[in-house]
Amino acid sequence: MPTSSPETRASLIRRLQNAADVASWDEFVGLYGPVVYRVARGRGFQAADADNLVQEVMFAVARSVSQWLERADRGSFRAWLLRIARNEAADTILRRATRPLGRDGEVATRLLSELPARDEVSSRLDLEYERRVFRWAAERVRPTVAPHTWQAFWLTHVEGLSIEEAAKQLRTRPGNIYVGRSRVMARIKELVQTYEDNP
Amino acid sequence: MNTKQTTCDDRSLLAMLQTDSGGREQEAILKHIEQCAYCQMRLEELAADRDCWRKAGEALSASSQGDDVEQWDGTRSQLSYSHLADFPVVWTESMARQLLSPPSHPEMLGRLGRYEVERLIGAGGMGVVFKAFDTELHRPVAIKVLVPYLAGSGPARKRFAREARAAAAIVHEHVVPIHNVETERDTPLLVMQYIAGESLQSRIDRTGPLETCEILRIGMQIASGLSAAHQQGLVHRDVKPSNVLLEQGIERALITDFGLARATDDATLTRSGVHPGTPQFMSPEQAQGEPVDARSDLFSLGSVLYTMCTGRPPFRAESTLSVLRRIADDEPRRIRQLNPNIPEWLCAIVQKLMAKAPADRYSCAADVAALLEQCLAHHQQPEFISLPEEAAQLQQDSYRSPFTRFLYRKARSPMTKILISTAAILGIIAYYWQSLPVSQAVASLQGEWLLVAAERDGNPTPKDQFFNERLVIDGNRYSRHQTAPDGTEIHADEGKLSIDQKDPAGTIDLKLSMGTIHGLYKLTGDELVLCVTREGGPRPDSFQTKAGDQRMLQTFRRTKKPESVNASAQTDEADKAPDSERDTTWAKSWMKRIPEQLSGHIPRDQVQQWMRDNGFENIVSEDITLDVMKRIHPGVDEAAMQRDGVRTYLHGLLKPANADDGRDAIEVYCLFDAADKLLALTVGPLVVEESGQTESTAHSRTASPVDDDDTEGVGPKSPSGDKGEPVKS
Repeated sequence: MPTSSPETRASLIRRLQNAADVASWDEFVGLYGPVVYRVARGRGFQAADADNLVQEVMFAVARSVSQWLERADRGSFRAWLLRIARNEAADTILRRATRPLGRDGEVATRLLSELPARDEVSSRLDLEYERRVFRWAAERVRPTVAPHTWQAFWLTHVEGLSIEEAAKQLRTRPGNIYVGRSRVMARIKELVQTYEDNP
Repeated sequence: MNTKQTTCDDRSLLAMLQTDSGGREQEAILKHIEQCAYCQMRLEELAADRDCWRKAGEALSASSQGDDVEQWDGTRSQLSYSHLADFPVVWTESMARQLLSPPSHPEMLGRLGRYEVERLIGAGGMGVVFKAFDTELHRPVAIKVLVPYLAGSGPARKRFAREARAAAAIVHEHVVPIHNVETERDTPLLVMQYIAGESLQSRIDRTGPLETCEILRIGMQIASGLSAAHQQGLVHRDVKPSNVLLEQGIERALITDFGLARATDDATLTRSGVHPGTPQFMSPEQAQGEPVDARSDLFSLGSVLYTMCTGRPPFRAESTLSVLRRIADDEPRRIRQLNPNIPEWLCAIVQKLMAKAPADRYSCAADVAALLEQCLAHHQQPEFISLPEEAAQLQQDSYRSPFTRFLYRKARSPMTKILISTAAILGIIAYYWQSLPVSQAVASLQGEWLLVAAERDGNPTPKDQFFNERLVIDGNRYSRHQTAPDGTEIHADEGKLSIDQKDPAGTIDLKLSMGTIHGLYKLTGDELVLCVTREGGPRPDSFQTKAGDQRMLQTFRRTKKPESVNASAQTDEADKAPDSERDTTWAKSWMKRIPEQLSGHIPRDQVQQWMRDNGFENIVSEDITLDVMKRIHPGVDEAAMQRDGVRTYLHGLLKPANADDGRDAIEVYCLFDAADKLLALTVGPLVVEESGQTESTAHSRTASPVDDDDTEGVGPKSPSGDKGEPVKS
């Protein structure tokens, strides 16, 4: 599991009295780090730059944790993390993109003209985050169901096979495919909802 | 549930969704679902809404198809997150107070056993350090406490205990003494002598590069402290400026924080694939996770010396991973480029310490300490004590002619590495220049200039953001180039050089997208000389460069672009161009002609002018030492040189008009005495390092006042061929 540095974590632990909040942080870094990375890569950042950007965002978020702690009406830690990381990431990505330097021979003006709107970056982050959460849920559901059940879902819904084709491939009756795929979907949905509702 | 059921019933569908019988469903229901389109749809709806199905499909197919965007790499993330460790944790006294029992005096912070804790003085990777007072022995102490979140961790406790044992075993005047160790407590602690003073890091931060004398003294002391540790079989593994304390007043250097030190025979603690050291000062073998020995500390010592010389660590990059990569692959920038005050021999010592292969470094820290001590003696009394043989030898080995040095440096940068076989040749052509009317001078300038961090409208460049930044002038345009930490070459076209050509000298502003560089220029004959202040200074007031000052001088020469060389060579150059044939006639005639033309004790200006008039390029004037001189001019009269105080030499390169191969070029070295009069001359064919060949002829002639008859001798080897190291690929 990706972790933040021991120091960042340590300073958080000292500040966060609630062990659940620390767990939230770890989980959040594991989920949101890749999101920022992918959006940055999608924006043309080099791997190393994107990597660095992730760290900057995480560091900035960790630094502002005290703001959350000082708030009287602080809500869920994760919801707050998500909001602040989203802003921080969008800002950082846009700030970097406006750095007036050509990349691979391109001229500065061209990059400037391509300057992405903040909304676009934000919605991209949200989309990536949502997908990330779905993947995270799917990863957890998979070991809890029978292999055939998982396959019924995967073949029909992800790989796009028809019910009949999947049934043939799995040597089972179509009824089992109908039931299996929905069963997996139901569990993924449940997990995603639990994650969203109980931050 | 009814096995005969054939009707549509949400409850039974839901029940099915909630169990997992591994595909053995109730026959009748399955049969019904297969036939009932409504129930098929209903099953889906009950599982999740349409939107949710779609999102799941998109999320999972994106991940299964390998993706357009590269997946986030877990191992890299682990590594790069450790980069966050570079940021100091902000430990406040109130946080630290939680580690302590209540104080017995109100002005104290707290209490740890018999120690009254006064204040927090630092926080490191594993612990916090307090200044405290030992109430039994009545002396001030520094106490390092393992941070609580690590105190619960077995490996961390072990590491802490190991540090304590390791450090306590070393008794040396340049290692911080350990008074006491308590590892059985809830929070293990280490009691050390309290050193009033500052760390070498804060000293460098405060004052910038150190004086040579200081560098040698501190370097010698660190080396001798390390030697004591190494003799106990201990490798420090984290030698860096912040782990060297300078005692107030006498500035005695003491090594501290043996946090990573481990007995070299301690096999129980295996490598874990993480890099516990501070990356910037790590050795290449450490950076690559290979086993380390005492020679790894020598590399780090070299990095510390480098930092003292230049005021900045040798390898900087935006992320830990890039730093590690640079340590393994790159050569740091030459010390003298950053600080010309550092003597060449000290650079050579640092270079040897920082050799990539441990076997190429010194064999032990004691040798380094002894060498630095002798160098210090020499530096303080150069008239009485000569430079140690070893350092003098190194200096010679590291010497390269400016031209080959240029090639060498080029060959090391990742972008040019691939191109080098052809670029070595192209580079020479690009530098081909000839006498052009002054009016065309600006339009045909060519040159490259290391900027690194120039002024940007008064704002200093953000630290560590840009590297290897160059201003490249090509024709009449200038552009900014930089090499990103990952090796990517980035460039931005910045603008057109505008110089009032009627005015041979004046001010110039180079507008860059990051700001403006203010400078002075002068146009002399075939050269444009620019002078700017580096690192955020104002416009320089003169072309004088003072030692240690931040000014940069650079000469750009008129040139013709490679394409036009061939086209114009026949017509423009017909009368004065040397023989265009690529046989040896051209070279031979010049080898004969140069010594004829440059005979006698003539002044440097005159030689330089003659070289310019005859189409020499790459004319460089440099101060030179006797040792290097002897190498270039094997036949020179040493006694005469010593007597006359040899000071500078002039290097120039001459190539056939239509040369498409640098190997036809001729290299000339002229040696001048203190009065700037020609003393000796060496002429030989240029040896391009890439070729791997060494030409073996060089005409050497001394024109010393005593030995005035032209003793044309054949040197053993041409200068560059003799010294040139093969280019690392």
